[in-house]
Amino acid sequence: MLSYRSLVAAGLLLIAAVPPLAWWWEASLVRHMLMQIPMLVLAGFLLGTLVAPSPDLGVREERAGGIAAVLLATFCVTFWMIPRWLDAAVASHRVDAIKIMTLVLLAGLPLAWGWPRLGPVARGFVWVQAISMAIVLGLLYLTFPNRLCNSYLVNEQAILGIAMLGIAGFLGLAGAVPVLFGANNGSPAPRHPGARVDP
Amino acid sequence: MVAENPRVFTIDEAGRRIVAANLVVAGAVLLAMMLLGLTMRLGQSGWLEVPPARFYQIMTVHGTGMIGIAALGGITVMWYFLSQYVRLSTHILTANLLLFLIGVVIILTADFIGGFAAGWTILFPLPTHGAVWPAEAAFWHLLGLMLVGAGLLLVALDFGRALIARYGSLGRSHGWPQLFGLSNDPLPPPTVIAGTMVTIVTTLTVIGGASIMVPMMINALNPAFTINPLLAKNVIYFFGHSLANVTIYMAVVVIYELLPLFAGRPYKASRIFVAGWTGSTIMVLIIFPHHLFMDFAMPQWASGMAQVLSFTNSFPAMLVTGFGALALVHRSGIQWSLVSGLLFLSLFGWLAGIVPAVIDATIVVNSVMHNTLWVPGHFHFYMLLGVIPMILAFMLYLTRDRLGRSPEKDSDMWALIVYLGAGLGFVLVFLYSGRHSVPRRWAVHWPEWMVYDRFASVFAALVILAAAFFIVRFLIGLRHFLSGR
Ligand code: HEM
Ligand SMILES: [Cu+2]
Repeated sequence: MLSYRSLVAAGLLLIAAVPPLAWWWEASLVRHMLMQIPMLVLAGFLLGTLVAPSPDLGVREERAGGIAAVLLATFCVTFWMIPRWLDAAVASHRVDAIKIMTLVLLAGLPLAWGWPRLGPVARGFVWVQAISMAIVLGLLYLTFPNRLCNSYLVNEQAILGIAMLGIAGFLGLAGAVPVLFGANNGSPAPRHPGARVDP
Repeated sequence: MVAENPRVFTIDEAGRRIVAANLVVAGAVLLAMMLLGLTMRLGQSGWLEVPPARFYQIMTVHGTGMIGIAALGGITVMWYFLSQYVRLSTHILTANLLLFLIGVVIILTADFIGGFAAGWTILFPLPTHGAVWPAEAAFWHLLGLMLVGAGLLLVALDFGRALIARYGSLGRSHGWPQLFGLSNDPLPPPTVIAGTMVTIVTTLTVIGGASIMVPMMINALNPAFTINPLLAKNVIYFFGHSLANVTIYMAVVVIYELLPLFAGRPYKASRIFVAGWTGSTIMVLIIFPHHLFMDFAMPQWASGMAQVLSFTNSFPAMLVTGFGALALVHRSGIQWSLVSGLLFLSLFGWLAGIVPAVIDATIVVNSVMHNTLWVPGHFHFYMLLGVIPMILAFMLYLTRDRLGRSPEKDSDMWALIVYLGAGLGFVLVFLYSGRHSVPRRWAVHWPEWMVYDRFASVFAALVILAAAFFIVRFLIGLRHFLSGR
């Protein structure tokens, strides 16, 4: 189990981050944003699941730490979604190396540590946030008439925009189906101070 | 006295405090926004000098603030009653109030000091190209809205979490297995079904709102980023229509929960009730194109669909509520009191207010009525006479009329009559002016229109007096509620 996950992570890193292949991903906006970056985050995530201790949800600090970790991951991914930095990563190998390292270590890894520590409301909040982020990016890429990145062409922007909207739709469905049709049986009515006292 | 078996609602001390705080804020903001509304009417009637730039700022604050407190009050009503069935978090309700207050301060600053005045509908590209106000004002106004939305989202997610913990899924707490004959278990209570709908609609609304406001905020900072205006309009009305409507679905549970106290019978869900709410859950989310009939670039199927659905949209939940309420009180020897009176007033306002709304959602009528005072006429009908009385009824129930047993003073009944009479007068003047093609959103009116405006001003002043009376009554009784008796 342990070696299986680390093998997958290593494989992903090899495919996504090692030069000739890395340049191939980065040669296209869609491949760069929607394939290379997710692979890097996923690799970090898998590594994270190997090193993160299992959470003790009774402890408040654990939950707060979870929120902080997921926030860090969000900021890191958001940063690399900014066209200016995407451009920079294409233009300079040094920036690209930083991109690869931060996406693995500051996005994927903290995500694996933080996500299991989030309560259901915080998870829902992150999920909803991710959906609207994808819609926002989709709208921007679809309707922005000029080139956003120096390195990529306008027609690729439109494809990326549609793909982003597709991702938003997928995230929406993936969230909605278990929430609406989940199979757990629930629990009996609560007995707490706010509970109804039936006559 | 018929209510032999009054159901007792319980709430712990932390819950009492945050519910009370929410209602105090809602009451205070309601009165302030009403006074701003009166100021607009006085300005239009020529009785008060309101410079146009100031008028539009007031209009923006009034519309935004009113929808905001309808949501705050509504979600508090929902929270209180839903917490009788599932375990909800007081921390989250507190976070919501804080986000609301911070958002309000930002919005007030952006509008009254920054000068933002693009209306509550923030239709692109006006907010960021207002010319009269700087684009940063738009940025801050939108940020304030996002904070208010984030608060609502947190509460909705907490509802969702609690409903799933108790019922297993939102489909089950909506009563779907029973609706489709997959289960013979007893249906969830009406409040749980309504709470499920509110959870779903609020979450989707906030997603829509954030998805369009963030690009607009980017546009405010960097005009090179533009958005397709028609697309923006679609998303904005998806958000605006759904948000304004969901406030009713939040507050309406006060009828399901309190009317039985006065009638002495329980309000039970049925399969028809579930079907009605399911219909409304779906339709409230897809009929927003009725705001876009005048946009020739919209595909015709969208307009056609919106027209058909607008006829049917509000009916399901409204009819099951209306008939349910009538069946409940029929020959029950209902106890009349301020609270039950307000409940009936709100039911009337909701049912009757839909009629002018549906008329306006008819394409041929809309070509004439669009952007006349008919439009504020219809939504003030079900807001001023529907949602707000629901929230007021809840406030008064909590603080003085717990079981509907206390005898009413004459002054109470007078306040009720004034609120109904003047409120009706106020909205009818809007509708009448609209029928005579008086445009909405004009700071300065022709002298021919001022007669209407003056009548409306008098009615508005009377409504405000009655509302102030209710809110003062609520504040006086607050200590009683907080002490937990
Ligand atoms: C005493 C009570 C009230 C008065 C005097 C009042 C007055 C007004 C006036 C004069 C306008 C502008 C009409 C125009 O376009 O010329 C307006 C708009 C509006 N009002 Fe009210 N109103 C009251 C209560 C409410 C309530 C209870 C709500 C909702 C809960 C509400 C929500 C709105 C909204 C959303 C707008 C549209 C703003 C816009 O066009 O951007 N109002 N009101
Ligand atoms: Cu609408």
